[in-house]
Amino acid sequence: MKRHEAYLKQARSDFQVFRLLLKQDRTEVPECHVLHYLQMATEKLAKAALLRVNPAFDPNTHVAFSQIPHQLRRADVAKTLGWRTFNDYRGFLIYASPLFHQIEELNPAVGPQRPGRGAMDHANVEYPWEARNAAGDLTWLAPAAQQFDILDKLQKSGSGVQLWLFVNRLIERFESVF
Amino acid sequence: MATVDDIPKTYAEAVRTLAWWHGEEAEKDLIIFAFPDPRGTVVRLVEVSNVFPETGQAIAFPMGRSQEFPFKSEVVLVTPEEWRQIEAGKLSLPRKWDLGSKRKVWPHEAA
Repeated sequence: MKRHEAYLKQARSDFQVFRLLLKQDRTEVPECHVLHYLQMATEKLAKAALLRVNPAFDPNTHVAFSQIPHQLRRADVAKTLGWRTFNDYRGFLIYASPLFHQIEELNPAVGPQRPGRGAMDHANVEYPWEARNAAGDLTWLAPAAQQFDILDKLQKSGSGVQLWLFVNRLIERFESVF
Repeated sequence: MATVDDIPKTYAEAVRTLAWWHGEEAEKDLIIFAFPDPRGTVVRLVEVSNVFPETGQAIAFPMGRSQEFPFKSEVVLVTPEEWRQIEAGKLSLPRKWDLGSKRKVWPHEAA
């Protein structure tokens, strides 16, 4: 098995777990766990794609999924994934691009970090972070007790459901795309 | 975060709310059909538009209940051609979805 194939295999497994968790009620499975699997599946899927396109790509970076709207904005990819026209596919990628970034920034090593503070010091789906409460005092927050707005966006917006379908489609048709 | 007034309280409200969320920002050709769950627990929608990719399957996007949307939901995206195949019985809907029970919920009849 080649390196990108191993990433793809793990992405497929992560995505299956994401689907299982997504179906559960949020009182049973807090948002952070569902989003953690979505973030891991999409990062590995993106790394599989980027490694396939460029074997010199460094898979140690966590910045990968946000590159997909740019790297896979190709007419042949649109056709293989089932889009009727390249314009419709490009329109989806442009419209959903902020969601690609937001999913990537769920990783504690990505996203905004305050000067002088280490990684993980911001809202993320894995580790506690320090923030100010309503009274302005510093306090520690646990991901399991937080609401993230990404699941809300996936459910409430048409582009959110399309993003889910895009990831599902790329996972299914990866070998035909590349 | 949704205010209490935005949170659907009945199954009928939940169907209308989810269809409205998806319909209001969508392409003009979007049509949404609801497939009522006899138990009133799962909001099931099929959304039809030319801008969706053709997959040859009716894959449901499933979500559990949350504070802001206290109903389970399943959403399927298909192209008009795939919808014709579903109506002709050539493409299967997810299990337990009854084609005969479909109801158009977007655009609203009055729109």
